Formats: sequence, structure tokens, C-alpha cells
Amino acid sequence: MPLLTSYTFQDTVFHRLDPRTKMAWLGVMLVLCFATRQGFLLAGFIVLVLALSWVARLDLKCFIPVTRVFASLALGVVLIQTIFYSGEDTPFHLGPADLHVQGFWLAVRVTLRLYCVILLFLQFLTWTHPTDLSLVLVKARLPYRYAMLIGLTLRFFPVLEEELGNILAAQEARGMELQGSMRRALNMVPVMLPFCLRALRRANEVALAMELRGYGFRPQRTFLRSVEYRPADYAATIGMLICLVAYFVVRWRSPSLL
Amino acid sequence: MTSEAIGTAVARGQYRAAGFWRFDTKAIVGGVFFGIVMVLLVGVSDKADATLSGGTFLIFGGITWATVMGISTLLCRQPAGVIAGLMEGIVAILTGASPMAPTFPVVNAVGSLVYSLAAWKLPMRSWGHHLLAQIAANLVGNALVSVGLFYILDLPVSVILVSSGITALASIIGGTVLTKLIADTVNKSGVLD
Repeated sequence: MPLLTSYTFQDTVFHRLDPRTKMAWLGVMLVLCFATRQGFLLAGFIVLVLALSWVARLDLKCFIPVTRVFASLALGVVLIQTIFYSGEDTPFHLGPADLHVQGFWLAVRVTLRLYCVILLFLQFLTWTHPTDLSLVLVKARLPYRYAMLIGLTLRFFPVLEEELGNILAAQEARGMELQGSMRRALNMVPVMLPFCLRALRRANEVALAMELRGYGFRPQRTFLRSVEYRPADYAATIGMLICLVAYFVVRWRSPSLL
Repeated sequence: MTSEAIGTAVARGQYRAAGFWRFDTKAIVGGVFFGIVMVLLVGVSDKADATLSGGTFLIFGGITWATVMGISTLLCRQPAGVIAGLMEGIVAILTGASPMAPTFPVVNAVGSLVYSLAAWKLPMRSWGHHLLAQIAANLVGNALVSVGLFYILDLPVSVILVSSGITALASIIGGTVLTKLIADTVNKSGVLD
């Protein structure tokens, strides 16, 4: 299954929103994720993101590969915090190791926060058209030569991912041991070199094709699509800002609650 | 210096003559592609690091990062080096490649700029020049990652110091060797001509 899921159009109110509104949602949720110290609230944010994705008819299966990758990393974080936690805590002994309960709960909070951040970015990617992202950057007065690079990245990520797969398969066919993550990392050099060369060759071809189509010929250019802030976008943005302010007011009044 | 002349200087391995900047389309698209290459290869390496140490010591990931960052900056100059770093950071966040992914855009961009400064002032012909450039980039990069480890993962300072020290040492040695080998091979291959 490909690691990076691309945008798919669904006729929902979320897909029709301006990309800046989606950016505002991402920004507000990121602030809340990093501000809160309560695990239950972070779990609630994850449920909220998944529920909103479901309502927006996003394919929830696209979250599975990321969740799988993240699970192994989260396990590492939990183990390290449980063993090496340096705060005030009475550890309990399990054989030769001292285990910290507070360290465990701290790790759970950290992993919930990170998982929520990842889901938010993935949600943003799956409900925002890459061209719309470029248009927003152009509206922010970034030269279009640079504004369209995010779209280029998202377009060519699966192509290079497939190319890496081909190189790995070719080296395996020549007898190289590439089964298992450790072996794959130790035998990285014979994979890295052809991959860099192929990426450079492809970059030259793509750059030539882009220049032949007039990329960078004029400082300004026109676009088929356009982005526009509509009343629904204003309403959504104001609603999000009210929620954000309300959160900080509640937190200021009773710090232990949130 | 025209963009053609810069491209020719890079293809011949005359990195100091190529200067600090390179604005042609090949370099910019190359930066984007190296960003994708970096995220894919670091992804493979990070899995090995996760197996080895639960992702605390990014030995393989650090070496791969240092190598691809070095090659992209050396061959595509700036702003392509920063573009490669930013793209890698953005894709790493989107794919949940690492708990430290939110720090990657800044770490990559700053690391690439520091490497560029070294590659701009040094001829980058000998092992020593590559070593100096990698030391500068890795020390700055790992210092920034340490800040992320402290604030994002809430790790104890002792663990952070050991982790960053081991990662930086491995990245400097591995990155120097691989960057020089791959950059020399790319120049010999004629792909840049």
C-alpha cells in the first residue's frame, strides 16, 4: 500500500471549503494538541479528526499504513519513557529494570499528541487539492516557480516510491539480501547510488519538459482553478477561533481541567 | 555566472566555482526530487533504527540524512538544498515517518544552509573538506533535533545528549564517506552534463 495518500474529490461541504479554511483548522488543532496536557482531551481530538474525516467521506483506510508505522515508533517512546523517566516518581521493580508509571503516562500523552498531529496532516492532504495549495502560496505572493513545488512533490512521490521498489527488486534479483529492515539498511549503498542517479536523470527530464511548456518564462501566470473565501469559509474560521479562545479562557480559569 | 556555467562547474566537480546559488529549473526540480529521495531512504533507515533502539538512536537515519542532504546541496546548491529539506520535512510529517517529523523542515533547511556555506568556502575536493562540511551541518542539525527531543518527546536530558552524540558521530563519519563517493560517481556518470 502506498505510504502517501493523494487527494480524491468528494462532493462534500468540506471539500468545497477554501484551502485557507482547512489550513486554519489544521493550525487551530495543532495549537490545541500542543497546548493541552490531558490525555483524554488528546484522545478526544483524535476521535474528532476521525469523525470529521468520516463525515467528509474520506477513505479511512488511508490512515492504516501511517498508523502501522507510527505504532512501532510509539512503542519505542513508551519503553524509553517508562525506563528512563527522570521526574519525581517511585519506580516499581521488574527484574533488573526500574519502571516508572508516570513516565508511562507521559509517553502515552506524547504518542497521542503526535498521532493526532499526523492524522491532521494526512486529513489535510486528502481533502485539499495540490493545485489549491499552490494557488494559496501564489496568493501569499510567493513566486509561482516555488509555489508549485508542493504539487510537484505530491505528484512525483508515488513515481519515485515505485522506482525505489524497482531498484530494491533488481538488487534482490542479483542476490543481495534485503529481507528485514536491518539488512536493508546495512545494504543501503548499492540502493542509494542508483536511486540518486535515477532521480537526477528524471529531474533533468522533468525540468526540460517544464521549460518547454514555458515554466519560468514569465514572472506571472494564469491558472485554470481559483481559490476564493466564501461565507461558509468565514463562518467556519470564526467558529474555530471562538473555540480556540474559549479553550484558553477555560484553561486560564481552571488550569488543572485542561 | 550564467546558470549553464554553474551547471557545468557542478558537473565537473568544481563546487567552489559554482558559487552559493543556483536558480535554474534543473536545480529546483532536482531539489524537489532529492527531497523525495531523502524521505524514502530515511524511511527505510528509520525502520532499522526503530528495530535497533526504538527510534532513539537514529544511526542509519542520520547517515542517510547527512548523505542525501550533502549530495542535494552539493549538486543543486541553494535554494534547492533548502527546498529538498523542506519537502522531506513536509512529506515526513504527512506520512508519520517519525515522531520528530515536525522538527524536520527546520532541521533540514538549517543543516543544508550550513553545509552550503562550507561547500561555498571549501573546494570540496578532499576527504577533509567533506568532513568539515558534514561536521558543521551535523552539529547544527543534531542540536536542533535535541531541542525537538526535549520538547516533543519529553526525553530526559541525559538520554538526549547520548542519543544526539551517537547520531552526530555516526552521521559525520557515514555522511562524509557516502557523500564523497556518491558525488564523485555522479560526476563521473555524466548525468549532470
